[in-house]
Amino acid sequence: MVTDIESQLDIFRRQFKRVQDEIGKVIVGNDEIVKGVLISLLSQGHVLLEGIPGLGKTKLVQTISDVLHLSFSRIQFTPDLMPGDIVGTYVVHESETGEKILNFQPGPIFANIVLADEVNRATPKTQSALLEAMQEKSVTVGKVTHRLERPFFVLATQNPLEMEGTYPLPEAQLDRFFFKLKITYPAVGEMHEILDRTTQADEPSVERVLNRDEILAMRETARSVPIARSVQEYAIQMTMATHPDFASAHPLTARYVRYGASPRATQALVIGGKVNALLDDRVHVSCEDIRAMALPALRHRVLLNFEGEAERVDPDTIIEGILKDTPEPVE
Amino acid sequence: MSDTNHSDQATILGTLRRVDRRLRFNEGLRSLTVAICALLTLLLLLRILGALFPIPLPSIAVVCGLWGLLLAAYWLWRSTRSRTLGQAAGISDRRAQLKDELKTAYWFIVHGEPTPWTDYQAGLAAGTAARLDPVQLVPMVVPRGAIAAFALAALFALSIWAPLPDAESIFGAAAGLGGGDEDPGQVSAIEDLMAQAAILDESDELLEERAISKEARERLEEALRRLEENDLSLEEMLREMQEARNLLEEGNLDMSTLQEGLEDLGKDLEGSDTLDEFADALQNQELEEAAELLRELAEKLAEMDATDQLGDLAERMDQLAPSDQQELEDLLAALQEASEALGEQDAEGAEQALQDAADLMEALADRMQAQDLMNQASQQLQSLEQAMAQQAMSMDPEQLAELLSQLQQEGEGGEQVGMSMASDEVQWQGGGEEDGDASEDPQGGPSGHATGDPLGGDGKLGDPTRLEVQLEVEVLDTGEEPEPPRPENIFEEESRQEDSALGYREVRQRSTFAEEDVMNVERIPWRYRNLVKLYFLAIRPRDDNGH
Repeated sequence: MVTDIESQLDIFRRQFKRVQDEIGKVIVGNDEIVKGVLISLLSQGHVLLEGIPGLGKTKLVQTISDVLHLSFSRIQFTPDLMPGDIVGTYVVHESETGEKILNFQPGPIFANIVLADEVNRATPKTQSALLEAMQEKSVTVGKVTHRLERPFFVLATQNPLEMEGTYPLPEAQLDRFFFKLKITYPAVGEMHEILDRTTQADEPSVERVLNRDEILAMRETARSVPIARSVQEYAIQMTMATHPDFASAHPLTARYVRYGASPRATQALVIGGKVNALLDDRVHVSCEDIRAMALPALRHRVLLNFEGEAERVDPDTIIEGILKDTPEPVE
Repeated sequence: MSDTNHSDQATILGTLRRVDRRLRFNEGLRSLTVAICALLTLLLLLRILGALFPIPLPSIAVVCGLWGLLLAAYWLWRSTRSRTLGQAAGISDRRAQLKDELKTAYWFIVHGEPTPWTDYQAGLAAGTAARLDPVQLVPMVVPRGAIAAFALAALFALSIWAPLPDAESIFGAAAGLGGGDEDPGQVSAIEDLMAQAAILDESDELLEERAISKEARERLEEALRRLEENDLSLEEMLREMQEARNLLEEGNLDMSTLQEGLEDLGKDLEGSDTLDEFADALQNQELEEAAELLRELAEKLAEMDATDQLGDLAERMDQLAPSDQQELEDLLAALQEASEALGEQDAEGAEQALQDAADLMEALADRMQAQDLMNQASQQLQSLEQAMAQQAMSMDPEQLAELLSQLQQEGEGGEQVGMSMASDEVQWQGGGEEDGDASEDPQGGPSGHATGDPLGGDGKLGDPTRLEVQLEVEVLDTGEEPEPPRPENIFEEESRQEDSALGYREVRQRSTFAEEDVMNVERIPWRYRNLVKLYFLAIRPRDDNGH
């Protein structure tokens, strides 16, 4: 049994490293973003990537899809995009006998990896089309529910909300994203590397290194990592500290937050922490893993109130305050 | 569960127990330091307070007992707070940077159901635990409080070896540092002291008049002079006053025995027509009157019946019981001599003996009065001593000397008035029985003196009470009827009815109360009101001109 676990761990770490290395051939820097995306993939979560245009969000997702031996589809969200354009619709087909029948034509959502590019450019109605798919891993059209193939991984990109022609994502949909990762502008050294790779004759290419079954096995391995009750308690305390109505609310929360993070956030903290622990050569979750997951798991689940919006408070500031002031359990 | 798992658990728990023991030891050391600090602070505090104000032994015992109880309660409370091995695991993880490895393993050992993954984690944790050295992980730490404990111990030892300054010197220095600041308490002390000193001054005058204890008075005068010249500390002044009081109390008459003896003498002489008044005067302790009566009796001896009256007189005087009192012995001897002379029908000898007895009685009366005054003076000196000792804490010696010199000047300048008023006060305030003899002083006002207790036992001198009565004005009922109103002041006119110049009309409120309430509710923070106003101004409907 010990040998089995050790081999699982070895495979997990080796394969993760291979995927990282392959992605690193195309994507310069952004190691934490890549790690976050892979943690979400292995935690059965979806990722919302936010950044100004041109920072390689779409490129990153495309690279990931290239590395993983999975079906991939891309949906470019525009204001006139309709829900049917995403989930699919029934179209009239004429059979060989001349009979006209309605056949379900699956939309681009029916893929293992779905890139929802510039998701906040579509109307909230269309954005909501993703709700069932993201949570239930199924799509209901008419009276028929269609199961999506596992693994189902949505990678959405969005531009900052301040930009023109964007719609804020509904809170319910935001909550369904496992992580929200912010892509920042690359450093000067990274820019040189980007130029070197993309302005020459041969552009780097990647190989498919991970197939569907391997991904599912890695997911199972990650979920097996034990976590002590006190560490779990720490994750709960972190989540509760984002709720302004609770006694344990952080002062910043009490002042700027309207609604705190949901239990999904705590799930994200714990499952993400498990993957992070495995990547750190441990088979137990520590409070450090929870802290490492706090920002990507909580930042999109903390909804600011009027004062917070008006003062342009960054949710990251609130979460960092919570991280600083929430004590680790003694035992 | 396999043997490997058992050994892993034993390794983890063994390490955690060793860590826990060391943690407990350090904690005990810390608690002990706190207790020692508290004890030393208490002892030092008691030592300082004991130097300033004498603290009775029972109070010290109570304080120490309370401290002991508090300490015991603290230890009991600490002992009830049992530390778990989970806490030891947490501390080990933190100190060895194990990222909650031992904590997780311990939790699954105690609570969790074993799974392959938890067993595997426990195996890894056991390996880590085996490598841990609890001595390095939890080294014995000397608490920071130990420095404070050492410092307190040193201070306490110093306070034992080097005696602390007493309260008088501390407060004297404090008063000196205080400079010329007027303190209400100090003013009150000076006033009290002035009152006491005035009595002392008066007592001195009386003593001078009676030529009693000249030595004591001279001693006090010398002390006052030295104090005025800053040549005498308060402590020395108090000592001088004590000496003066001792001098005053030297050779005191036993007043109560003497009074009892006189009373017995009066009772012995009762029942005789000739000696009844004399006996009454003796029983009432009116010695001067008794002496006068004795002189009258001596002058009347020649007119008395030789057989009956003189014989009766001689017999009664002969029966007088001897007294142990030296002062009464002479008087009795004179009366005995008179009795013998009467028995020998020697009228002249008897008259002379009675005159001698009257002289002795007058002298005795004077001595008793003087003794009474000395008692008063001694009592007042004692009161002044106590007042000075108590008030000296808030008083500069220079101020005291100034005050006493001021008193002396007042005594010299307004001696007559002062004495007169003091005498009045003594007579006014005396609550006990008074047997005063006021006489006009040719040099001043009435300088009466009282033989009763002028202070009325434990009475205190004060300002005389003034009775001010304001009479209330009363209205007398004379029985007269009130006058009816005069006819010219009565006006009679018909009441008139007029219409209002303004007609009734319906007035509508611009807004209902509910609307006003809604308008008054302010949910927008003040800092954003301007922003909201600008927003609504921007989206307001505009007319054709764009306004």
